[in-house]
Amino acid sequence: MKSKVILIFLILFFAFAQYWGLVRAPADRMMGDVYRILFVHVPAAWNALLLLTVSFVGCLLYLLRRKEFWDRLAHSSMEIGLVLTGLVLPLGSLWAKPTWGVWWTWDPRLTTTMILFILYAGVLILRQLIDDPVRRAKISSAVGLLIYLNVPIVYLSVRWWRSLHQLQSSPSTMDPQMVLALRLNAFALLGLAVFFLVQRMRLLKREALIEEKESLPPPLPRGAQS
Amino acid sequence: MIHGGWEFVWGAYGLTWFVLTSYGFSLWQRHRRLSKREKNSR
Amino acid sequence: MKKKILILLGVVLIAGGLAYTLWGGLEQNLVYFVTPTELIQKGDAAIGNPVRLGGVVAEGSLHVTESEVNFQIADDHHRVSVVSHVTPPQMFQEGIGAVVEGALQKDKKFLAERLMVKHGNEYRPPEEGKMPQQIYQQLLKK
Repeated sequence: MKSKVILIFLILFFAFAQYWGLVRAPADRMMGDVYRILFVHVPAAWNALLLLTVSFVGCLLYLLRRKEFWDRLAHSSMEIGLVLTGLVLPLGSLWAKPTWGVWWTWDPRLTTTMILFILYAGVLILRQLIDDPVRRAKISSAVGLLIYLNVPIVYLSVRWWRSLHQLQSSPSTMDPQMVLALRLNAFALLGLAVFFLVQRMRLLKREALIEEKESLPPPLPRGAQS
Repeated sequence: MIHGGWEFVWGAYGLTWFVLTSYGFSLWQRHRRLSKREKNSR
Repeated sequence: MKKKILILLGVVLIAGGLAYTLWGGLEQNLVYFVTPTELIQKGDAAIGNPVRLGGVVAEGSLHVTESEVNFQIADDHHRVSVVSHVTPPQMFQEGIGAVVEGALQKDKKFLAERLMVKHGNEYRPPEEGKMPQQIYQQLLKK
């Protein structure tokens, strides 16, 4: 019940932020109205990298503490981070076509992001293949730590190498009205992402409890003891 | 300056809603399936 | 046993993907485009080799006719004349960053099959009667 109220609030806030980006923020002098894709593309990218960073922490703490909670955190944040990464790529394409002139190009930022998506999809598939929960947690934590290396590479790719993708914007390179719209949208999506994360972790906990129960031998019928 | 191009903007915002709603829906589905399993395992 | 092989396969795939990221596949993408200076330095070796060329569309060099587009891609030192038969993107204009795909021809003109605009990270509302003053020096970072 409580989570339903929170969800409704988060959706309303999300819609409000998008209204701000679509209507209230001024057009860009170069890109006109097309630049408004920034308000969905950039928050999705930030939150994707943020959630994958959370999964890194989860992997690390699981290996140190061996508590199931950290594995559930790593698993859930990876899944949502992957969904957001899968969203960033087509959003970028929709922005690239009218501005750059192409849907896709193998520029360093785009290439590393594509690799990021494949790597994390790989870990989640790997999880499906291991039945023993402890082994699964150990292996995917180790692999999760390893592939996190790619996250800073994605983030810094536009600074390290020549690319078609623009550098990160900062408040000094944007109109204050646009900065406000971007922040609203980033926090609105963050809210939804955290909500999903909490729900996903709850599901994993319940699933683990059921599996534990099911793996126990069925109780003997009454009076069967001899 | 680019004129128009709103179809790309609507595409992007629509896709965002679609992906988020689908993921939320899949969580709800998994929740329902678990509830059924919980009943059966009792 | 079958599971173990699958797990091993998964690990190998992921490790392979990572190794590819770090050392292999990005190698060519590390140099996503060459600058006019670098292209000219290659001399005749550049002729006929497909490459991406990036720089600024030189002021006063852009001529659009019905069948082709002519312009020069410039960095701080050199310019390369480019000819193309594709329709340029809407933002394509003099003074903007651009990356073009194609190859240098024997007549030292670059024949481009793909024209791409590089936008800076600046976002400003339009001002009445003022042209955008964008800074594209960042484009040519080493």
